[in-house]
Amino acid sequence: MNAIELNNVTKSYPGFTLDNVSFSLPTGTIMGLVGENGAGKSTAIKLIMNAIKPDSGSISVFGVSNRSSEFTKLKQNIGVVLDEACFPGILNTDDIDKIMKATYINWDRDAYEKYIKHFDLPRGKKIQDFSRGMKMKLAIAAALSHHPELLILDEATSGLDPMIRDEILDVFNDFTRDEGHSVLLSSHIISDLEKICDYITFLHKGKLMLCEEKDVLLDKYAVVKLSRENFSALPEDALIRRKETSYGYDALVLKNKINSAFTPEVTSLEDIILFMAKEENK
Amino acid sequence: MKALLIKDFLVVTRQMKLVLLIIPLIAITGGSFMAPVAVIMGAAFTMTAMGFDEQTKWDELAVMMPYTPNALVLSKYLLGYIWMLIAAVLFILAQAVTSVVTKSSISDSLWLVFYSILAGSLFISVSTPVFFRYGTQKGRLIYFCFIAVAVSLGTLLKNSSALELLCSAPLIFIVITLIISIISLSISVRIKKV
Repeated sequence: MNAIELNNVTKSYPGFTLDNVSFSLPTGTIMGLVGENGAGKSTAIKLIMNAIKPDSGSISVFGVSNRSSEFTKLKQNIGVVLDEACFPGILNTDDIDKIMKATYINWDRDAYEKYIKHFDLPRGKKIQDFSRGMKMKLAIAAALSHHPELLILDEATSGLDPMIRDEILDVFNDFTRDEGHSVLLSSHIISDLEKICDYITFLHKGKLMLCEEKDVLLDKYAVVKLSRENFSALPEDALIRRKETSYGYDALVLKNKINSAFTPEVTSLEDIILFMAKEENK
Repeated sequence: MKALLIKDFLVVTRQMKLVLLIIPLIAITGGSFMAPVAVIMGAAFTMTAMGFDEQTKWDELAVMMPYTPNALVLSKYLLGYIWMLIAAVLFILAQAVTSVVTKSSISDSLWLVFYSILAGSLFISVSTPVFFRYGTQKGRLIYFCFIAVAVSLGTLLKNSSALELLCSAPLIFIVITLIISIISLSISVRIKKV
């Protein structure tokens, strides 16, 4: 069963349309939702959590339509972290414990305490006096302490330093050791997604550019650096995108369509995504 | 809904301690006709809580948590009603203390507080759907309009004949307030439902 399934979902705002998007997150996997600011990542997450209504299309979570009344109960099984902690600054970690205990049937105070200790969060201190990293760690602790099966994170690591991001990514990795646990992680920090994701979904200007297994992507595409003469020898069906340079061209190609005369560069997920975002110059 | 009320009470009591001191103070210094102001200050805690939610983006997170739209809406109304009653009790207690000292009756104050509670309920009913729809920043104007009306009402009711008229038919006003509250609640739930 898929943890999340979007079918032809469209949502329009003045000046922006999330256009006919379909993708699914298989249970037990981590999916990175990548795209520039304003690409539609947060809109997609709001739609999944039924915070906004789609103009068309359907969404299901663990096989349940997110527009059904059953979905509110299913939310007991989902942990959400947005790009800010979203907890009132006047409260402290003990207050969050009280609120979450009254919110989630499966709230586990011991697990929460463990996370608070693990993240070294101060007790009794107002959240407004926390650093951004501490606030996000608290939000993650709160999202994980009711033992959800699905974790949805919207830019939860953005604006954090690499050390804290790494610490948080380790927690997500631990979470997915359980085969029933799934994660949808939106970020524009592609290197973070490359570290932990099984699947990559790339949104660009509201359109779905690709949704593929990360390893397949890295196996399928490569960047080659070509002189102008070599570029003309490149098989037409191998070229995905190109970028003109002073030397000639950098091109994103399908590895299985080029011969040994073309030497692929070491290609990261970020390279592939950046090339994919260039629509005009194939 | 319990969780939402716990959250709002923790936030509001910590942020608004001063108001709890101001209410008895205006009861002692301002006299009984300040009852509407005191009670509407309590009712306005709905607006305060919603303002804090917007500021911290709690409202954006809450719609993704296992709270129903009914719970999200009803908790805000209940918060206003409860704080309005707390404000009324504080006001009456302060007035009672004053009456012992001045050896005067507080029966007029009790009626004023009663009608202030109805006015406070009306404030919650009119303002809360506006806050849900447009946010507290845009909706704040309603609060100031209500305070102005409340002060005028208090001054008007100082005239005992007007007060007697109101006291003669309290049930009608209770029923009207109830009907308006129910309509307001259903509008707010409709706004909150996506």
